Amino acid sequence: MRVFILAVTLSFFSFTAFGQTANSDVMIGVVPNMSARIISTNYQPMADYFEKGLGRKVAVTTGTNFPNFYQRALTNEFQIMVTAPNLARVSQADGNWEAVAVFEPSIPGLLVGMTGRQNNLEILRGKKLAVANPQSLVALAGIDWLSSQGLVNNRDYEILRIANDDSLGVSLKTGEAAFALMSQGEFNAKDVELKKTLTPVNTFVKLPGFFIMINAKATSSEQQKMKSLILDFPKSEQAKQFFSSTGFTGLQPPTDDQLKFLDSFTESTRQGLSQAK
Amino acid sequence: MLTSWSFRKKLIFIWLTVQIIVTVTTAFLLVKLTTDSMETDIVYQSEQIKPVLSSAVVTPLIQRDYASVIAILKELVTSGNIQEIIIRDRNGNLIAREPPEANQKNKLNISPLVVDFLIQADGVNLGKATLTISRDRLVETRFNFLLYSALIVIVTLFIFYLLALVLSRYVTRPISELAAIAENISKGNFIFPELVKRNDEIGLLQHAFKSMSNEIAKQINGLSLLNAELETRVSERTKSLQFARDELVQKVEQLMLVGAVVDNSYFSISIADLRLPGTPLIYVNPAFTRITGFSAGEVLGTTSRVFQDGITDPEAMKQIHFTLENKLACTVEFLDRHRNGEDFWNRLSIFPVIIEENEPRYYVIFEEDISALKKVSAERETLLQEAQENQRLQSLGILVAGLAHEINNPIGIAITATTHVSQTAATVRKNASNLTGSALTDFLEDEEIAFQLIFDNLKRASDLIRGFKDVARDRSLDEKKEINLKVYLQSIEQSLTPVLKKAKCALSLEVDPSISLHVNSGSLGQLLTNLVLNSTIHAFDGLKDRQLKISGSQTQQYVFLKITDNGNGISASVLPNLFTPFYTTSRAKGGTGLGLYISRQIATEVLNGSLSVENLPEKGCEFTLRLPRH
Repeated sequence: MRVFILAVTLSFFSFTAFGQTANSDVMIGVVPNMSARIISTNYQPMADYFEKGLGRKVAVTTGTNFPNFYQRALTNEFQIMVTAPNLARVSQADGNWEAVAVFEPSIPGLLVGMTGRQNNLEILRGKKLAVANPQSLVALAGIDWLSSQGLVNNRDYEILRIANDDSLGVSLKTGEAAFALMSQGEFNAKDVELKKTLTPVNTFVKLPGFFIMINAKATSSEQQKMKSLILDFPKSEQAKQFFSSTGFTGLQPPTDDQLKFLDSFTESTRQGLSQAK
Repeated sequence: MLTSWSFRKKLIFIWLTVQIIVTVTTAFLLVKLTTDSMETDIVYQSEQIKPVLSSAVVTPLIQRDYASVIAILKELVTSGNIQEIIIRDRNGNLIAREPPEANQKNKLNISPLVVDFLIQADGVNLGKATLTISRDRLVETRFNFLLYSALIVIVTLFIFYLLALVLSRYVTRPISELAAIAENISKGNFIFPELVKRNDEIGLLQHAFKSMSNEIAKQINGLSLLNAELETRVSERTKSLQFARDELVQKVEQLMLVGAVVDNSYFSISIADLRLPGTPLIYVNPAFTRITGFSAGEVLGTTSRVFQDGITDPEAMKQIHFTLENKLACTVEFLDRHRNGEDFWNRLSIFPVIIEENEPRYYVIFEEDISALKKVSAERETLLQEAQENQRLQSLGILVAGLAHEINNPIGIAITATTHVSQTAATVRKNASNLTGSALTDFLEDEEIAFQLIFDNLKRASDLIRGFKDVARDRSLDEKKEINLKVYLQSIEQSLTPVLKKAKCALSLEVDPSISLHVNSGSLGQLLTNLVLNSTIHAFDGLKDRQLKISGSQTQQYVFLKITDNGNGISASVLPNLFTPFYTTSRAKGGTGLGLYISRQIATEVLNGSLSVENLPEKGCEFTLRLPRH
């Protein structure tokens, strides 16, 4: 129903809701890797930081899903964007976005199973692999790693698309899925009681952290100010709270190696985004 | 107006009025309760919608997924009473509004409930929602409720009106019949017509009414009788009250009389109230002031001297103390002193007054100046003593006169005999030469007779004198001694012989010779002499047969002497005063009126006995002297 309503009203979107966004707020778009409420809460210190630094109101927003977020990024709805590295690379390539910094530490990709169970990869065979967002870098890297382990998608197992990553753990608990793919950050964000029932089975990759980018459509002075604010963010008081709640530890300008590594996922990312559309 | 209506009309009116009030009140209350409940529901609904709306739109708001927001709003608006929902961002810019155009459905112009609230996610302000909840349904419901209530009221009223008509007809007709019967009863017509029999309350009422009619008839008859009886009673009671009133008036007059008597009494009268502290005097009459010298103003409220050892005479005070302690009455006489310093003899009497209680409430004190009485009494006493002595001497004189008369005869006979002897002896001496033997013998026989005669008469004279001497000695010494009654009476009889002979009166004695007693013999002799002399003087006027008898008898303790005569007896008017001093019916004959008085004084005070008199049934009278044996 919800999907239907969304589909029907999507066309109405540009005329009503989108039009409503033309206000003076600086928007920080955050990739919807977690529930919108958690994103809003976790990124509020960063919004406060920028609001103070820019002297303008700053709001945090996210997308309903990756394609939605990606589309909005391409339409320059955000002035600042925090996004997954593969999306960051695609946005950089296809849109007006400039990568300013990468959050540390790097993102461990985890294969998560149930606590107290023999979590052999073979139990996945004929069963489902829970994934919150198949277009996410973790999902793409995880599927690649499983292929290298002899478990091919749609042959040995099926992808179980979970509406949001909060429900990934629940799908394991209820037995809908044999394993789930999620980042270390997503795992850490799980409810304490739920986390007790989950066990990371394998850290199959260490991905670059989320990219923080600025929209190149802004004036150069604004861009400079935003860049310097981004790079100074770890020194701020708000950063302590932010890092505490997100698990990030710092910021570094992106390296060429990181960008090169991400290039290998550009096409599959684009494909995933178009399929989801 | 209502009072002039018939019962039926009133019944219908009251029935419908109550029905209207109850129905309208119920409808009003139900509408009120429903309205309140619905209003509460609306507010509750708004409170329920707020968190739902907040929760539902938080995520799309963060995601800026306004289409989802609108879809959510559409879903909410289509359900319940929500009229409009407006979502604005934190800058006040419109994000979504559902429905897009303002609803013009509010025909009734009833303001909806508008609730504004912030939409927040973990303290982050995402925007503001304005929730408009329509009250149209409330108004419609209320209107429908009122409409249906009105319809129900009208229908109910109509039904109840019909019911009231039927009921009133069913109830009021028999009541009207009963009312007509009651009117007849009120006019005194107790004939109860036959009514249609019913088994309900009306039937019971008819039955009760009939019973009541009969009972009223019976009661009226009873009342008539009772009235007659009552009138009789009232009449009697009136008489009784009249009598009581007369009695009261009489009592009041008596009281006034008593008051006047007390006020004007010669005696001092004072009254002490024992209930008040100090037993003060509460009343003194004018005589009090005269006798004591103290005015009422001076003594009223003060304690009487009777109660505070104020009597100077110790004996009198002692007696008063005893009297007060034992709540008795007493009379004392003592030498008192007037306020002016003069002494006077006071006769003081006190007695308690008890009024409807067991304990004395008042003490009344009588006082009388008896100084004059004391003086007269003393003089009287002296006179009486003198009279008693005179009477004693008089009786002795009578005895002496009788004695002289008695002695005169034997002495005369003795003298005559002596003269005869002397003349005979002279003749014999003269004729001694010629004296023959027979003449001598005759002379000697004559002499012997003469001497015997002289001896007898002299002896008789001697006996008379000795007897008088005993009597006279007894009277003068009056010693108490043991006497044989018969012997003593014989000596008395002997001493009285001359008097009795002169009075031509016979005295007989009937006394048991064994009776003896220890007595003042002189006083006893005087007493008996008085009684015998009194009888000879007063008892036998006009009678020839004059008999006196002294009879004696005894009991364990007493000796009784009765002096009986066969005379005229004592007239009834005299009898009560017989022993009163100076009372006499024969003062012309020299009577002093002291004889019997003194006799009783001797009997009571000297001999410690008593003396009484009574007329005998046939004739004569009888004096009875009772004497203690020892």
